[in-house]
Amino acid sequence: MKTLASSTYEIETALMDTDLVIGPVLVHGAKAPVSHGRPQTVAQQCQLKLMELDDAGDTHNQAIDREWVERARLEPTDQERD
Amino acid sequence: MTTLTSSNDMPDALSYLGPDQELKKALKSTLAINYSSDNVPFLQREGALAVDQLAKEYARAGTLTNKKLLALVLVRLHDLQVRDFAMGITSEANIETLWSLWRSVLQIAPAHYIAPVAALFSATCYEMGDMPMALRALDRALDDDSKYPMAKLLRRVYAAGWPPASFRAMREELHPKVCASLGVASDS
Repeated sequence: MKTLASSTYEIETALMDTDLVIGPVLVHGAKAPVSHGRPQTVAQQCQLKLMELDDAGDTHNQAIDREWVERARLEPTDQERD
Repeated sequence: MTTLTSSNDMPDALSYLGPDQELKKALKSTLAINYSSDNVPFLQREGALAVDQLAKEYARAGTLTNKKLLALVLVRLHDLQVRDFAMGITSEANIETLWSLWRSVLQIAPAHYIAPVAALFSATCYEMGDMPMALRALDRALDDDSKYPMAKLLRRVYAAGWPPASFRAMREELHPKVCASLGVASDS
């Protein structure tokens, strides 16, 4: 795990190669985290879009899985065929 | 959508034409941004205005004669805001000129200054529908800096099948915000 200063530049650069980013971390007695707001750089926008596309891909795959399960359910079993 | 190159002429389109002594000298005397200093916004703004001026001079003359200006652009393009500004100035009216500009810059940019320009050139090719050249430009960026984040990100963007028109719309929407943060006019 690697901790970084919470600047737009650091976050954007880190997002490129990380599997997981933990954003706000509560430190007892410390100043509250500051939100960086909506993505303001091309890289952040690209990351956001890729996440959307990944989600869409997952949803699509889940829909295919569900359809396959439904079809499988409707098909007669080997015993029924016999 | 116009495609200016075919895969047949790709090897020459991005090849390095050799060192330019005047440019090397200008690069040495150009101040890089020190992010712990107080003058970051000023230097970023100066970089963005240099990109704009370079694009206008290139549109007028069709050559890169002002090496001091080019050096300033190459140094400041390492800054994300300046690079985003450079990406945002592309429009339907100037895309072919900028394609030619970034390609010309790529042909004379020395090592360590190539990656941001190659990413810009790649994005321009992508928007023009020339995916082979867009990918080749990303290779060039990663040859120069194997960890260059924007090159890696653009590769993922292309692979994900994000339509170029949608990418362009994102860029155009973002550009005024980038300009505002840099303190430059969006139609500068």
